[in-house]
This record gives sequence, C-alpha cells and structure tokens, in this order.
Amino acid sequence: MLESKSETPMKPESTPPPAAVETSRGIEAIKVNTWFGTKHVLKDISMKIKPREVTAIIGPSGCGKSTFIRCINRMHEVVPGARMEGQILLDGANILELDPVLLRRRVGMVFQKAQPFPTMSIFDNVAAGLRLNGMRNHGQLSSLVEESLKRAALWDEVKDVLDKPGTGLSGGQQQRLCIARALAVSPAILLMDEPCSALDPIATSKIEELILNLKKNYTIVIVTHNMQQAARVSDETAFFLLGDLIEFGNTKQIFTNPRDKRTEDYITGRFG
Amino acid sequence: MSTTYRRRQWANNTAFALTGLCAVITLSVLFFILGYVTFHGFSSLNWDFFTKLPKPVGESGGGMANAIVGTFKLIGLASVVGLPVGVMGGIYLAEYGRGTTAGFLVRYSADIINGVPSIVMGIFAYTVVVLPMRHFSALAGGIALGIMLIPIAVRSTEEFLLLVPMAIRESALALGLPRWKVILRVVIPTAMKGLLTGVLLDLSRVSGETAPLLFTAFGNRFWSSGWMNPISSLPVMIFTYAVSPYEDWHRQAWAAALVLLMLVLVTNVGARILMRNQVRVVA
Repeated sequence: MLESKSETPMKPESTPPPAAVETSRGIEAIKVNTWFGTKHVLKDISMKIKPREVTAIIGPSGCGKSTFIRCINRMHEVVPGARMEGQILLDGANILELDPVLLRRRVGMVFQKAQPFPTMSIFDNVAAGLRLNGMRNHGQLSSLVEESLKRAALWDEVKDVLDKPGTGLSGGQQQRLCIARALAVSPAILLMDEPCSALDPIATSKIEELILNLKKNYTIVIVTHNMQQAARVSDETAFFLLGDLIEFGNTKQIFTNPRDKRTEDYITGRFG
Repeated sequence: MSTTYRRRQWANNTAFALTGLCAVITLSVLFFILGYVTFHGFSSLNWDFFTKLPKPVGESGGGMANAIVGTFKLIGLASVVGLPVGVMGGIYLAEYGRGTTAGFLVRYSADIINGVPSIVMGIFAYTVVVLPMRHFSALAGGIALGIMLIPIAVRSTEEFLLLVPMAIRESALALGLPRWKVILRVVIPTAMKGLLTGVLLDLSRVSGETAPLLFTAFGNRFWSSGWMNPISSLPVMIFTYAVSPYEDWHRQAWAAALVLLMLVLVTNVGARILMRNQVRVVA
C-alpha cells in the first residue's frame, strides 16, 4: 500500500485554480427509451442536466440509473442487444450523430469499481487517454498528468511514486487515480457511476469533497444508491423507479418536500 | 442423531479415500512413465546423441542431431503458419464474437478441427502439398503441424483474453479510445503473459505429433537444407527406431523419447514461471 500512514485531511489545493476546461451548455434527454433485448429498461426519460452543477440520480437497484448515464456517453452500445430510442442532446447536438469515440472524450466516465490499467504505472495510467490518442511530447504529458492528479487531489500522495504500478494504491486512491485518468482528456462532463460504493467512509468523504471542487469546472452526473451522499453533494436530484423518472428537481426540495408520494416513500426508507 | 452423524462421517471418509486413491493412481501413472523413460533413456544419452547424424543401418553409434534440429525447424514453420491465424482468431472470439452466431460458428469449427485425428491432418497436407510437389518436404510437415496448431491457439488465446475483466475494456473505451486500440494497447498487454504461456503450451503439444509427419516431412538420415527437402524429427525417429530390430536403435529411441519429454517438461515449467508474473485482475 502506498498510502501514507497518517491520512492527511484533504485541504483545498494550494495551487492556483485550474484553468477552465471546455464547458458545455448541458445535456438534454428527450423521451429516452432503452431496451436490452426485449427488456424495456428506460421508459420515456426526459430531463435537462445543467452545466457546471452536480446532478444526482437516485433510486432502488435495477431502476435504470446506471443504464441512463451509460446512454449519455453511448457506453450502453458495448452491451450486445442494447437499443436506445429518443434523443440525448449534448450542447444541442444529438449524440447518436456524433462519433462515439469523440463523444467519449468529451463525456468522461468513472466506474463503480476502480480499475487502473494493471500493466501501467500511475503516470502511464493517467496519461493513457492522451498517449493512446497520439500525444508523444513527454513534457506535455508530464504537465497534463500533474495537472490531472492535482485536480483529483491525488498529486501529493503519488508525486514521488509515479512509476509504481497503479494497482499498488489503496481503494480510495485507485478511484481518485481513475478520476485523474478521466480528467486527463479534458472532458466537459464527468459521469460517475456509484464511485464510492466500494470505498470506506474516509475515502468516500474525500471523493465527495473532490466532486464539490470539480463542479466549478465540470458538469457532473453522479449515480448513487446512497441518498445521504446525493443530499450532500448534488444541486439537482433525479429519482428513478423501475425505469421511469418519477421526480426531478432541486436537491433540497426533493429531500425536504418531495412532490410525488413514491419519492417520499423512497427517501424516508419505506422501500429501497 | 449420532448414528446419522457417524454415517455421514463414514461417507465423508470413504469419498475422500476414493478420490484420493484416484489422484494417487493418476500421479503414479505420470511418474511411472517419467521414471521408465528416464531410466531407459538416460543411459543412452551422450554427447554424440546431440551432435552426430544417424549412422547407416546396422552400425551402432551416431546420434539424432538432425532430428532435434528438425523438430525445432518444424515447430518454427508451424508457428509461422498457425500462430497468426490462431491468435487473431482467438482475439476475434474474445473481443468481437462473444454471443454472436459468427462467434459460435468459429468456436465450434475450431473445436471440431481439434478433434480431427492428426493422421487426417497428415493426409490433408499430403494431398495439398506433397502430391503437387511430388516429394516430401519440411514445408509439408510444417503446414500439417501449423493447421493443427490453429484451433489450439484460437482456444488458448480466447481463454486468456476472456480472463481480462470487462471493466478494463469499459474504462478504456470511456476514455474515448477506438475499439481496436483498446484491444491492441490495453487488453492484449494486460493478458500478454497469459497469451505467451498459451502459445508455449500449444507449441509443446504440437511438437510431439507424429502421425501428420509420417508422410509429409517423412524423415531424413542427413541434414535437411531449406524447406523443400524431407526432414527428420524426434517423434518420427522414435517411431522408426522403436519398431526396428536393432538393439542400439531401441536405446537411441529411448534417449529421443527422454529428450522430447524433457523439452515438453521444460516448456511447461517455463510457462508456469511466466504465468506467476502474469497480471491477475480480480473483476
């Protein structure tokens, strides 16, 4: 384990604020329906995701939240038999008309289980998206890797061990490494699929702090089954149930005064 | 209560004893063969065996240098013929063909070819290469072994690539990398040691095949130059010498059997060492 024995509490980076990355006008989903084979997973989802805010998607298991965010960067196409109808607009452009490879450079994704590339060092992991897309200049790579690791609040912990394998880090560090890797290609939007569900509470709180920091420059959509987390980090929350979007609105309003009874039941724990 | 417990104990112990006995029998067969070959072959191993050509029929002495070189030459040609197709086929099955009809057909065909008796492969290579050329050749032998290698390589490549969890492919795709780059630059390097191990084991399997070489490479009592001449190989020499009436040849056949066995053993051990360093990703 490369984590220092005494975990230093996360302080805001003392470096100057990161340069603004390509911002977007937000994402709009219009009547999105998804099928896996014959199974109708998402039903008529329509919602607007505001730029440079954190939007949380909550709901019980199997309600389609992960499927929905996977549609946003067209990762649902990886599953054989997956089909999507409806539109998802990214800055007004229909994502189905964009090249999926270019789309995924603009819309980054962090998965539930942190998966650093096992054959690569920490540096190579973060640089992977850049290097494999053709960037050769080592100086450029170094500075971008450093910047991404700083944005992911991991730089101080790994700056001396950049050539060690990525898999030697703790769970929380690995997840921050994956976030740095996703940030390295300068996406405008970051999708996070239950990023903290495999982490302990300390690592979780570090990542939540990171999210609050990142939203200054990125649009973040986070799927979580942890309602308190949604209440802590997000500005807007969407509640999914069995493939339907039940309610979507300001987080404070959803958690204190939900309009739909099913939302209220879920939030108060009557089912889950 | 206690009678059922005692009965269960008895059943447990019997099952353990029976399965343990079967394990011992399996191991003892292996060690018996190893021991027998080593016992008979070791005394006939000498420097001449590795460096000299076979002596004329009836004379004692000589060696199998040309057969050893021949085996390596044939494996080399088989690799060139069979590995590219086999490995690419395996990549197709693991990366593009999962769950598709085409993938099913390819996998099924590979399994069927795997099951074809090796002598039929020999006849195939005989008809396709030897007859038009009008003579036996190393080329024909290499092609026969190469065709045998293809389905084996397909399956071993596929198997090791399937061990790479989907999460790695998804993480790489989500970075905005095209699929072929994900396969070439992320998945294959992750599985590399496993793939090499698979290739080593496949080659060692093919190195011992005798039947396809009987009428393709045929055999040669001299050095074989180039690829167009018949060539000697260890398995065929073992066959030729073992059924001969000469005591000296029998001894040499044992020595050859030992050398072949050692080759396979060393390859397997090498593969195991390689695999120990293989990245094992828990999905």
